[in-house]
Amino acid sequence: MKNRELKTYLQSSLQQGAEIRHEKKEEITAQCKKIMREQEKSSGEERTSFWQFLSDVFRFEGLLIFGLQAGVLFLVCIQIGMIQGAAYYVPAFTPLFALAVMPALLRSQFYKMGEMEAVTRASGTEMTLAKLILAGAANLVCMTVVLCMVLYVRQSSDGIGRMILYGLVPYLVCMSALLRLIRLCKKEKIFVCAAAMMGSCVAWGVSAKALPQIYEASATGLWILLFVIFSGFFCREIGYILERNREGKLYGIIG
Amino acid sequence: MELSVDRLTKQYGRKLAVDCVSTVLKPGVYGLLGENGAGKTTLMRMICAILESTSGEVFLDGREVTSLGADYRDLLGYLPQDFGYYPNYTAQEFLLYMAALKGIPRSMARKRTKELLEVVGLNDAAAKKLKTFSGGMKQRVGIAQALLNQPKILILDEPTAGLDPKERVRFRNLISDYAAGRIVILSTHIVSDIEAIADEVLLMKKGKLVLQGTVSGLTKQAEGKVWELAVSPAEAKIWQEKAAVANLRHEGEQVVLRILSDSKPAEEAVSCEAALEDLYLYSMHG
Repeated sequence: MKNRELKTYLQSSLQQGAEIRHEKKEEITAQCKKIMREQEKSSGEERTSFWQFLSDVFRFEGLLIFGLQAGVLFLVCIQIGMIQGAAYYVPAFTPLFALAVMPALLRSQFYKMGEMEAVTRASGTEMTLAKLILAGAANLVCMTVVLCMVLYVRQSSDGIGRMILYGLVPYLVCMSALLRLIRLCKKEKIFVCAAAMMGSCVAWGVSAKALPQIYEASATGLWILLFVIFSGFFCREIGYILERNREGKLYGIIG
Repeated sequence: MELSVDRLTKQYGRKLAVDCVSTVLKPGVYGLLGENGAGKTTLMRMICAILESTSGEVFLDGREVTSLGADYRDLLGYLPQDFGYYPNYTAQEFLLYMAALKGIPRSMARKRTKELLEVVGLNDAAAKKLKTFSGGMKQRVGIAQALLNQPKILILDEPTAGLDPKERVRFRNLISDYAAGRIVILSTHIVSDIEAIADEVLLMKKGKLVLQGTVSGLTKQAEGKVWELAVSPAEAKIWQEKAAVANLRHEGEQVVLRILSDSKPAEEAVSCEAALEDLYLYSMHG
Protein backbone atom coordinates (compact mmCIF):
# COMPACT_ATOMS: atom_id res chain seq x y z
CA MET A 1 0.00 0.00 0.00
CA LYS A 2 1.39 3.42 -0.90
CA ASN A 3 1.80 6.15 1.71
CA ARG A 4 -0.93 8.30 0.14
CA GLU A 5 -3.40 5.40 0.10
CA LEU A 6 -2.61 4.64 3.71
CA LYS A 7 -3.11 8.27 4.68
CA THR A 8 -6.51 8.38 2.92
CA TYR A 9 -7.46 5.13 4.57
CA LEU A 10 -6.50 6.39 8.02
CA GLN A 11 -8.36 9.67 7.46
CA SER A 12 -11.56 7.89 6.37
CA SER A 13 -11.26 5.53 9.33
CA LEU A 14 -10.99 8.49 11.70
CA GLN A 15 -14.05 10.14 10.15
CA GLN A 16 -16.10 6.99 10.55
CA GLY A 17 -16.05 7.19 14.34
CA ALA A 18 -14.05 6.28 17.36
CA GLU A 19 -14.84 2.59 17.42
CA ILE A 20 -11.66 0.57 17.24
CA ARG A 21 -11.73 -2.78 15.53
CA HIS A 22 -8.87 -4.76 16.94
CA GLU A 23 -8.27 -7.00 13.93
CA LYS A 24 -8.13 -3.89 11.69
CA LYS A 25 -5.80 -2.16 14.14
CA GLU A 26 -3.37 -5.04 13.98
CA GLU A 27 -3.54 -5.04 10.19
CA ILE A 28 -2.79 -1.31 10.03
CA THR A 29 -0.02 -1.61 12.59
CA ALA A 30 1.57 -4.35 10.47
CA GLN A 31 1.29 -2.18 7.35
CA CYS A 32 2.84 0.79 9.15
CA LYS A 33 5.71 -1.38 10.34
CA LYS A 34 6.27 -2.65 6.80
CA ILE A 35 6.43 0.91 5.44
CA MET A 36 8.79 1.94 8.22
CA ARG A 37 11.05 -1.00 7.42
CA GLU A 38 11.07 -0.13 3.71
CA GLN A 39 11.93 3.49 4.50
CA GLU A 40 14.68 2.35 6.82
CA LYS A 41 16.23 0.26 4.07
CA SER A 42 16.21 2.99 1.46
CA SER A 43 18.05 6.26 2.00
CA GLY A 44 14.68 8.00 1.64
CA GLU A 45 16.32 10.66 -0.52
CA GLU A 46 15.78 11.45 -4.14
CA ARG A 47 18.32 9.83 -6.46
CA THR A 48 19.16 10.68 -10.05
CA SER A 49 17.97 8.58 -12.99
CA PHE A 50 20.40 6.94 -15.40
CA TRP A 51 20.01 9.78 -17.92
CA GLN A 52 20.74 12.40 -15.28
CA PHE A 53 23.72 10.30 -14.24
CA LEU A 54 24.84 10.16 -17.88
CA SER A 55 24.71 13.95 -18.09
CA ASP A 56 26.80 14.13 -14.88
CA VAL A 57 29.35 11.72 -16.35
CA PHE A 58 29.43 13.89 -19.47
CA ARG A 59 30.10 16.93 -17.26
CA PHE A 60 33.07 15.27 -15.56
CA GLU A 61 34.43 12.89 -18.21
CA GLY A 62 33.15 14.46 -21.45
CA LEU A 63 36.20 16.60 -22.06
CA LEU A 64 38.56 13.63 -21.69
CA ILE A 65 36.46 11.32 -23.87
CA PHE A 66 35.62 13.79 -26.64
CA GLY A 67 38.96 15.57 -26.46
CA LEU A 68 40.95 12.38 -27.07
CA GLN A 69 38.64 11.30 -29.86
CA ALA A 70 38.95 14.72 -31.49
CA GLY A 71 42.73 14.55 -31.22
CA VAL A 72 42.84 11.11 -32.86
CA LEU A 73 40.39 12.27 -35.54
CA PHE A 74 42.61 15.23 -36.37
CA LEU A 75 45.69 13.01 -36.77
CA VAL A 76 43.79 10.42 -38.81
CA CYS A 77 42.36 13.07 -41.14
CA ILE A 78 45.87 14.45 -41.77
CA GLN A 79 47.12 10.93 -42.57
CA ILE A 80 44.21 10.22 -44.92
CA GLY A 81 44.96 13.42 -46.79
CA MET A 82 48.56 12.30 -47.28
CA ILE A 83 48.11 8.61 -48.22
CA GLN A 84 47.46 7.21 -51.64
CA GLY A 85 44.61 4.64 -51.71
CA ALA A 86 43.28 5.79 -48.34
CA ALA A 87 40.30 3.39 -48.41
CA TYR A 88 42.59 0.39 -47.83
CA TYR A 89 44.05 2.07 -44.76
CA VAL A 90 40.76 2.70 -42.97
CA PRO A 91 41.22 -0.48 -40.84
CA ALA A 92 44.61 0.81 -39.71
CA PHE A 93 43.04 3.95 -38.28
CA THR A 94 39.94 2.78 -36.43
CA PRO A 95 41.73 0.84 -33.61
CA LEU A 96 43.13 4.23 -32.62
CA PHE A 97 39.62 5.35 -31.70
CA ALA A 98 39.25 2.29 -29.45
CA LEU A 99 42.67 3.07 -27.97
CA ALA A 100 41.53 6.63 -27.21
CA VAL A 101 38.64 5.25 -25.12
CA MET A 102 41.04 3.50 -22.73
CA PRO A 103 42.12 6.49 -20.59
CA ALA A 104 38.50 7.32 -19.78
CA LEU A 105 37.52 3.70 -19.09
CA LEU A 106 40.55 3.03 -16.91
CA ARG A 107 41.01 6.42 -15.27
CA SER A 108 39.74 5.27 -11.87
CA GLN A 109 42.22 2.37 -11.82
CA PHE A 110 45.09 4.64 -12.80
CA TYR A 111 44.29 7.10 -9.99
CA LYS A 112 43.40 4.36 -7.44
CA MET A 113 39.82 5.55 -7.28
CA GLY A 114 38.28 2.20 -8.25
CA GLU A 115 37.49 1.05 -4.72
CA MET A 116 35.95 4.34 -3.64
CA GLU A 117 33.87 4.56 -6.81
CA ALA A 118 32.75 0.95 -6.53
CA VAL A 119 31.02 1.64 -3.20
CA THR A 120 28.62 4.14 -4.72
CA ARG A 121 25.14 3.78 -6.09
CA ALA A 122 26.47 3.92 -9.66
CA SER A 123 29.39 1.56 -8.95
CA GLY A 124 31.84 0.62 -11.68
CA THR A 125 29.12 -0.95 -13.82
CA GLU A 126 26.91 2.06 -14.40
CA MET A 127 29.99 4.24 -14.76
CA THR A 128 31.47 1.96 -17.44
CA LEU A 129 28.13 1.87 -19.22
CA ALA A 130 27.83 5.66 -19.19
CA LYS A 131 31.40 6.08 -20.44
CA LEU A 132 30.82 3.51 -23.19
CA ILE A 133 27.70 5.36 -24.34
CA LEU A 134 29.60 8.65 -24.51
CA ALA A 135 32.63 7.05 -26.14
CA GLY A 136 30.38 5.18 -28.58
CA ALA A 137 28.70 8.42 -29.60
CA ALA A 138 32.10 10.09 -30.08
CA ASN A 139 33.40 7.07 -32.04
CA LEU A 140 30.35 7.12 -34.30
CA VAL A 141 30.88 10.79 -35.14
CA CYS A 142 34.63 10.31 -35.67
CA MET A 143 34.28 7.26 -37.90
CA THR A 144 31.66 9.04 -39.98
CA VAL A 145 34.03 11.97 -40.41
CA VAL A 146 36.84 9.56 -41.39
CA LEU A 147 34.66 7.91 -44.03
CA CYS A 148 33.55 11.30 -45.37
CA MET A 149 37.20 12.31 -45.53
CA VAL A 150 38.09 9.15 -47.48
CA LEU A 151 35.20 9.75 -49.87
CA TYR A 152 36.32 13.34 -50.32
CA VAL A 153 39.90 12.29 -51.04
CA ARG A 154 38.77 9.58 -53.49
CA GLN A 155 36.15 11.86 -55.07
CA SER A 156 33.96 8.77 -55.36
CA SER A 157 31.39 6.96 -53.23
CA ASP A 158 32.08 3.52 -54.74
CA GLY A 159 32.52 0.75 -52.17
CA ILE A 160 31.20 2.84 -49.27
CA GLY A 161 29.63 -0.25 -47.69
CA ARG A 162 32.95 -2.09 -47.73
CA MET A 163 34.69 0.89 -46.21
CA ILE A 164 32.21 0.90 -43.34
CA LEU A 165 33.13 -2.74 -42.74
CA TYR A 166 36.86 -1.93 -42.97
CA GLY A 167 36.33 0.62 -40.24
CA LEU A 168 34.02 -1.35 -37.96
CA VAL A 169 35.70 -4.77 -37.92
CA PRO A 170 39.06 -3.69 -36.39
CA TYR A 171 37.21 -1.36 -34.00
CA LEU A 172 34.96 -4.19 -32.76
CA VAL A 173 37.97 -6.52 -32.37
CA CYS A 174 39.77 -3.97 -30.19
CA MET A 175 36.74 -2.97 -28.12
CA SER A 176 35.75 -6.61 -27.50
CA ALA A 177 39.28 -7.44 -26.36
CA LEU A 178 39.41 -4.39 -24.06
CA LEU A 179 36.02 -5.10 -22.46
CA ARG A 180 36.91 -8.75 -22.02
CA LEU A 181 40.09 -7.83 -20.16
CA ILE A 182 38.17 -5.44 -17.91
CA ARG A 183 35.51 -8.12 -17.29
CA LEU A 184 38.16 -10.68 -16.37
CA CYS A 185 39.81 -8.08 -14.09
CA LYS A 186 43.16 -8.50 -15.84
CA LYS A 187 44.66 -5.21 -14.76
CA GLU A 188 48.20 -6.23 -15.67
CA LYS A 189 47.18 -7.12 -19.24
CA ILE A 190 45.77 -3.69 -20.03
CA PHE A 191 49.10 -2.35 -21.29
CA VAL A 192 49.52 -5.46 -23.43
CA CYS A 193 46.06 -4.75 -24.84
CA ALA A 194 47.03 -1.14 -25.63
CA ALA A 195 50.23 -2.33 -27.32
CA ALA A 196 48.23 -4.92 -29.28
CA MET A 197 45.87 -2.20 -30.50
CA MET A 198 48.80 -0.16 -31.75
CA GLY A 199 50.27 -3.30 -33.29
CA SER A 200 47.01 -4.06 -35.04
CA CYS A 201 47.11 -0.61 -36.68
CA VAL A 202 50.50 -1.49 -38.15
CA ALA A 203 49.31 -4.99 -39.15
CA TRP A 204 46.25 -3.64 -40.95
CA GLY A 205 48.41 -1.03 -42.64
CA VAL A 206 50.88 -3.70 -43.81
CA SER A 207 48.01 -5.88 -45.03
CA ALA A 208 46.85 -3.04 -47.27
CA LYS A 209 50.20 -3.22 -49.07
CA ALA A 210 50.94 -6.96 -48.80
CA LEU A 211 47.45 -8.41 -49.26
CA PRO A 212 45.49 -6.02 -51.48
CA GLN A 213 43.19 -8.89 -52.51
CA ILE A 214 41.42 -8.82 -49.11
CA TYR A 215 40.32 -5.27 -49.92
CA GLU A 216 38.80 -6.19 -53.24
CA ALA A 217 35.04 -6.44 -53.82
CA SER A 218 35.30 -10.26 -53.99
CA ALA A 219 36.43 -10.36 -50.33
CA THR A 220 33.34 -8.56 -49.05
CA GLY A 221 31.91 -11.85 -47.76
CA LEU A 222 34.94 -12.33 -45.53
CA TRP A 223 34.50 -8.84 -44.06
CA ILE A 224 30.78 -9.44 -43.45
CA LEU A 225 31.63 -12.72 -41.71
CA LEU A 226 34.23 -11.00 -39.52
CA PHE A 227 31.77 -8.22 -38.78
CA VAL A 228 29.11 -10.73 -37.65
CA ILE A 229 31.58 -12.67 -35.47
CA PHE A 230 33.07 -9.65 -33.72
CA SER A 231 29.69 -7.91 -33.38
CA GLY A 232 28.65 -11.05 -31.51
CA PHE A 233 31.64 -10.80 -29.15
CA PHE A 234 31.08 -7.07 -28.63
CA CYS A 235 27.34 -7.50 -27.99
CA ARG A 236 28.11 -10.28 -25.51
CA GLU A 237 30.40 -7.97 -23.53
CA ILE A 238 27.85 -5.15 -23.59
CA GLY A 239 25.11 -7.62 -22.63
CA TYR A 240 27.19 -8.73 -19.66
CA ILE A 241 27.61 -5.13 -18.46
CA LEU A 242 23.86 -4.50 -18.89
CA GLU A 243 23.05 -7.63 -16.93
CA ARG A 244 25.40 -6.67 -14.08
CA ASN A 245 23.90 -3.19 -14.09
CA ARG A 246 20.35 -4.55 -13.92
CA GLU A 247 21.31 -6.81 -11.02
CA GLY A 248 23.12 -3.94 -9.28
CA LYS A 249 26.37 -5.91 -9.23
CA LEU A 250 29.92 -4.68 -9.58
CA TYR A 251 31.87 -4.92 -12.80
CA GLY A 252 35.49 -4.85 -13.79
CA ILE A 253 38.73 -4.00 -12.07
CA ILE A 254 38.15 -2.70 -8.54
CA GLY A 255 40.79 -1.44 -6.17
CA MET B 1 18.68 -1.89 11.24
CA GLU B 2 20.92 -4.88 11.82
CA LEU B 3 24.03 -5.87 9.92
CA SER B 4 24.93 -9.51 10.45
CA VAL B 5 28.24 -10.98 9.49
CA ASP B 6 27.88 -14.72 9.27
CA ARG B 7 30.99 -16.92 9.27
CA LEU B 8 32.76 -14.62 6.83
CA THR B 9 35.97 -16.09 5.48
CA LYS B 10 38.48 -14.90 2.92
CA GLN B 11 41.35 -17.03 1.78
CA TYR B 12 44.20 -15.94 -0.49
CA GLY B 13 45.98 -19.10 -1.56
CA ARG B 14 46.97 -20.77 1.71
CA LYS B 15 46.60 -17.62 3.80
CA LEU B 16 43.37 -17.03 5.69
CA ALA B 17 42.97 -13.27 5.71
CA VAL B 18 39.63 -13.44 7.51
CA ASP B 19 38.79 -16.61 9.36
CA CYS B 20 35.13 -17.36 10.01
CA VAL B 21 34.17 -13.99 11.49
CA SER B 22 30.63 -13.71 12.85
CA THR B 23 29.08 -10.72 14.54
CA VAL B 24 25.89 -8.68 14.68
CA LEU B 25 26.13 -4.92 14.35
CA LYS B 26 23.33 -2.60 15.41
CA PRO B 27 23.35 1.22 15.27
CA GLY B 28 26.38 2.50 17.13
CA VAL B 29 30.09 3.12 16.65
CA TYR B 30 32.26 0.03 16.33
CA GLY B 31 36.00 0.29 16.60
CA LEU B 32 37.95 -2.36 14.76
CA LEU B 33 41.33 -2.95 16.33
CA GLY B 34 44.10 -5.24 15.25
CA GLU B 35 47.70 -5.19 14.14
CA ASN B 36 48.75 -4.86 10.50
CA GLY B 37 47.61 -7.88 8.51
CA ALA B 38 44.97 -8.88 11.07
CA GLY B 39 42.30 -8.80 8.36
CA LYS B 40 40.54 -5.53 9.22
CA THR B 41 40.63 -4.08 5.71
CA THR B 42 39.63 -7.39 4.12
CA LEU B 43 36.68 -7.66 6.52
CA MET B 44 35.61 -4.08 5.77
CA ARG B 45 35.84 -4.64 2.02
CA MET B 46 33.68 -7.74 2.30
CA ILE B 47 31.11 -5.84 4.38
CA CYS B 48 31.10 -3.19 1.62
CA ALA B 49 30.47 -6.01 -0.89
CA ILE B 50 33.42 -5.01 -3.07
CA LEU B 51 35.36 -8.15 -2.19
CA GLU B 52 33.83 -11.54 -2.66
CA SER B 53 34.13 -13.80 0.37
CA THR B 54 35.48 -17.34 0.11
CA SER B 55 32.60 -18.40 2.32
CA GLY B 56 30.08 -16.79 4.64
CA GLU B 57 27.72 -13.93 4.06
CA VAL B 58 26.76 -10.45 5.18
CA PHE B 59 23.09 -9.71 5.82
CA LEU B 60 21.28 -6.43 6.24
CA ASP B 61 18.04 -6.99 8.12
CA GLY B 62 18.06 -10.60 7.03
CA ARG B 63 18.77 -9.92 3.34
CA GLU B 64 22.06 -10.86 1.76
CA VAL B 65 23.80 -7.60 0.86
CA THR B 66 24.99 -8.55 -2.63
CA SER B 67 21.38 -9.28 -3.59
CA LEU B 68 20.44 -5.74 -2.47
CA GLY B 69 22.92 -4.32 -5.04
CA ALA B 70 22.64 -0.56 -5.59
CA ASP B 71 20.12 -0.20 -2.74
CA TYR B 72 22.74 -1.48 -0.32
CA ARG B 73 25.46 0.75 -1.75
CA ASP B 74 23.06 3.66 -1.41
CA LEU B 75 23.17 3.14 2.34
CA LEU B 76 26.95 2.89 2.45
CA GLY B 77 29.64 5.46 3.04
CA TYR B 78 33.18 4.12 2.65
CA LEU B 79 36.62 5.54 3.13
CA PRO B 80 39.30 3.09 1.93
CA GLN B 81 42.63 2.89 3.68
CA ASP B 82 44.71 3.74 0.66
CA PHE B 83 42.69 5.83 -1.72
CA GLY B 84 43.64 7.91 -4.70
CA TYR B 85 42.18 11.09 -6.12
CA TYR B 86 41.98 12.94 -9.40
CA PRO B 87 44.79 15.50 -8.99
CA ASN B 88 43.29 18.14 -11.23
CA TYR B 89 39.94 18.26 -9.46
CA THR B 90 39.40 20.87 -6.80
CA ALA B 91 38.04 19.63 -3.47
CA GLN B 92 34.61 20.92 -4.47
CA GLU B 93 34.72 19.28 -7.91
CA PHE B 94 35.85 16.01 -6.37
CA LEU B 95 32.93 15.98 -3.94
CA LEU B 96 30.50 16.92 -6.70
CA TYR B 97 31.90 14.07 -8.80
CA MET B 98 31.45 11.60 -5.93
CA ALA B 99 27.95 12.99 -5.34
CA ALA B 100 27.12 12.29 -8.98
CA LEU B 101 28.27 8.68 -8.55
CA LYS B 102 26.13 8.41 -5.42
CA GLY B 103 23.14 9.58 -7.45
CA ILE B 104 22.63 12.81 -5.52
CA PRO B 105 20.81 15.47 -7.56
CA ARG B 106 22.95 18.48 -8.46
CA SER B 107 21.27 21.11 -6.29
CA MET B 108 21.41 18.86 -3.23
CA ALA B 109 25.00 17.87 -4.07
CA ARG B 110 26.12 21.51 -4.18
CA LYS B 111 24.47 22.24 -0.84
CA ARG B 112 25.87 19.16 0.85
CA THR B 113 29.35 19.65 -0.61
CA LYS B 114 29.45 23.16 0.86
CA GLU B 115 28.26 21.91 4.24
CA LEU B 116 30.72 19.03 4.38
CA LEU B 117 33.70 21.13 3.33
CA GLU B 118 32.88 23.37 6.26
CA VAL B 119 32.45 20.40 8.60
CA VAL B 120 35.89 19.02 7.72
CA GLY B 121 37.44 22.47 7.84
CA LEU B 122 38.24 22.80 4.16
CA ASN B 123 35.90 25.56 3.05
CA ASP B 124 38.83 27.89 2.45
CA ALA B 125 40.52 25.28 0.27
CA ALA B 126 37.37 24.30 -1.67
CA ALA B 127 38.63 25.81 -4.92
CA LYS B 128 42.16 24.45 -4.62
CA LYS B 129 43.28 21.45 -6.63
CA LEU B 130 43.71 18.19 -4.76
CA LYS B 131 47.30 17.81 -5.99
CA THR B 132 48.21 20.80 -3.80
CA PHE B 133 46.67 19.22 -0.66
CA SER B 134 48.65 17.74 2.23
CA GLY B 135 48.01 14.14 3.36
CA GLY B 136 45.74 15.27 6.19
CA MET B 137 43.71 17.51 3.88
CA LYS B 138 43.21 14.65 1.42
CA GLN B 139 42.10 12.44 4.29
CA ARG B 140 39.52 15.05 5.26
CA VAL B 141 38.22 15.19 1.68
CA GLY B 142 37.98 11.39 1.84
CA ILE B 143 35.95 11.59 5.05
CA ALA B 144 33.68 14.22 3.48
CA GLN B 145 32.99 12.05 0.42
CA ALA B 146 32.03 9.13 2.64
CA LEU B 147 29.41 11.32 4.33
CA LEU B 148 27.93 12.80 1.12
CA ASN B 149 24.95 10.47 0.87
CA GLN B 150 24.27 10.59 4.62
CA PRO B 151 24.95 6.84 4.82
CA LYS B 152 23.24 4.60 7.33
CA ILE B 153 26.29 2.36 7.34
CA LEU B 154 29.58 4.23 7.48
CA ILE B 155 32.78 2.25 7.07
CA LEU B 156 36.04 4.08 7.63
CA ASP B 157 39.38 2.35 7.21
CA GLU B 158 42.06 4.20 9.17
CA PRO B 159 40.20 7.53 9.00
CA THR B 160 42.50 9.33 11.44
CA ALA B 161 45.72 8.40 9.63
CA GLY B 162 47.53 11.62 8.73
CA LEU B 163 45.26 13.87 10.79
CA ASP B 164 46.85 16.22 13.31
CA PRO B 165 45.59 16.10 16.94
CA LYS B 166 43.20 19.03 16.41
CA GLU B 167 41.71 17.41 13.33
CA ARG B 168 41.43 14.09 15.14
CA VAL B 169 39.35 15.73 17.83
CA ARG B 170 37.20 17.37 15.15
CA PHE B 171 36.78 13.98 13.47
CA ARG B 172 35.80 12.28 16.77
CA ASN B 173 33.17 14.93 17.42
CA LEU B 174 31.87 14.65 13.89
CA ILE B 175 31.47 10.88 14.13
CA SER B 176 29.87 11.06 17.59
CA ASP B 177 27.30 13.55 16.27
CA TYR B 178 26.74 11.57 13.13
CA ALA B 179 26.43 8.11 14.61
CA ALA B 180 22.91 8.35 16.05
CA GLY B 181 20.77 5.65 14.48
CA ARG B 182 23.57 4.56 12.14
CA ILE B 183 26.16 1.84 12.06
CA VAL B 184 29.68 3.26 12.02
CA ILE B 185 32.63 0.89 11.71
CA LEU B 186 36.08 2.36 11.93
CA SER B 187 39.45 0.75 12.03
CA THR B 188 42.49 2.41 13.48
CA HIS B 189 45.73 1.73 15.30
CA ILE B 190 45.12 4.71 17.53
CA VAL B 191 43.47 3.12 20.55
CA SER B 192 42.63 6.49 22.12
CA ASP B 193 40.41 7.33 19.14
CA ILE B 194 38.46 4.13 19.69
CA GLU B 195 38.27 4.77 23.45
CA ALA B 196 36.87 8.22 22.79
CA ILE B 197 34.11 7.40 20.31
CA ALA B 198 33.45 3.66 20.01
CA ASP B 199 30.45 2.08 21.71
CA GLU B 200 31.89 -1.34 21.03
CA VAL B 201 35.30 -2.66 20.14
CA LEU B 202 36.03 -5.57 17.81
CA LEU B 203 39.50 -6.97 18.25
CA MET B 204 40.98 -8.96 15.38
CA LYS B 205 44.03 -11.17 15.41
CA LYS B 206 45.31 -13.27 12.53
CA GLY B 207 41.98 -13.01 10.71
CA LYS B 208 39.91 -14.02 13.72
CA LEU B 209 37.60 -11.89 15.82
CA VAL B 210 39.10 -12.54 19.24
CA LEU B 211 37.21 -10.06 21.39
CA GLN B 212 34.07 -7.99 21.14
CA GLY B 213 32.53 -5.76 23.80
CA THR B 214 32.15 -2.27 25.16
CA VAL B 215 35.25 -0.26 26.01
CA SER B 216 34.51 -0.46 29.75
CA GLY B 217 33.64 -4.16 29.55
CA LEU B 218 36.82 -5.00 27.72
CA THR B 219 38.95 -2.81 29.95
CA LYS B 220 37.62 -4.75 32.93
CA GLN B 221 39.04 -7.90 31.36
CA ALA B 222 42.50 -6.39 31.60
CA GLU B 223 42.09 -5.43 35.25
CA GLY B 224 44.58 -7.14 37.54
CA LYS B 225 46.86 -7.79 34.59
CA VAL B 226 48.57 -4.40 34.40
CA TRP B 227 51.57 -3.72 36.62
CA GLU B 228 54.09 -0.99 37.07
CA LEU B 229 57.65 -1.81 37.99
CA ALA B 230 60.55 0.56 38.58
CA VAL B 231 63.89 -0.94 37.51
CA SER B 232 67.36 0.16 36.43
CA PRO B 233 67.95 0.83 32.70
CA ALA B 234 69.95 -2.41 32.41
CA GLU B 235 67.16 -4.46 33.96
CA ALA B 236 64.60 -2.70 31.77
CA LYS B 237 66.18 -4.30 28.69
CA ILE B 238 65.89 -7.75 30.24
CA TRP B 239 62.25 -7.16 31.20
CA GLN B 240 61.42 -6.00 27.67
CA GLU B 241 62.64 -9.34 26.36
CA LYS B 242 60.94 -11.60 28.89
CA ALA B 243 57.60 -9.79 29.47
CA ALA B 244 54.94 -7.83 27.60
CA VAL B 245 55.97 -4.25 28.24
CA ALA B 246 53.23 -1.82 27.20
CA ASN B 247 55.11 1.33 28.04
CA LEU B 248 58.24 2.63 29.72
CA ARG B 249 59.10 6.02 31.11
CA HIS B 250 62.23 7.40 32.73
CA GLU B 251 61.94 8.71 36.28
CA GLY B 252 65.31 9.99 37.46
CA GLU B 253 67.80 7.12 37.45
CA GLN B 254 65.10 4.51 37.06
CA VAL B 255 62.83 3.26 34.33
CA VAL B 256 59.17 2.62 35.13
CA LEU B 257 57.83 -0.27 33.09
CA ARG B 258 54.15 -0.93 32.42
CA ILE B 259 53.97 -4.72 32.28
CA LEU B 260 51.05 -6.87 31.13
CA SER B 261 50.97 -10.14 32.99
CA ASP B 262 48.40 -12.57 34.42
CA SER B 263 50.34 -12.75 37.68
CA LYS B 264 52.48 -10.30 39.58
CA PRO B 265 55.72 -10.19 37.58
CA ALA B 266 57.91 -9.19 40.54
CA GLU B 267 57.60 -8.53 44.26
CA GLU B 268 58.08 -4.77 43.79
CA ALA B 269 55.50 -4.57 40.97
CA VAL B 270 52.41 -2.48 41.73
CA SER B 271 49.00 -3.18 40.21
CA CYS B 272 47.60 -0.22 38.25
CA GLU B 273 44.43 0.81 36.41
CA ALA B 274 43.94 -0.91 33.07
CA ALA B 275 43.19 0.92 29.82
CA LEU B 276 41.90 -0.37 26.48
CA GLU B 277 45.40 -0.14 25.05
CA ASP B 278 46.60 -2.57 27.72
CA LEU B 279 43.99 -5.12 26.71
CA TYR B 280 44.87 -4.61 23.06
CA LEU B 281 48.56 -5.18 23.69
CA TYR B 282 47.83 -8.06 26.05
CA SER B 283 45.69 -9.79 23.38
CA MET B 284 48.29 -9.21 20.70
CA HIS B 285 51.07 -10.54 22.92
CA GLY B 286 49.21 -13.65 24.08
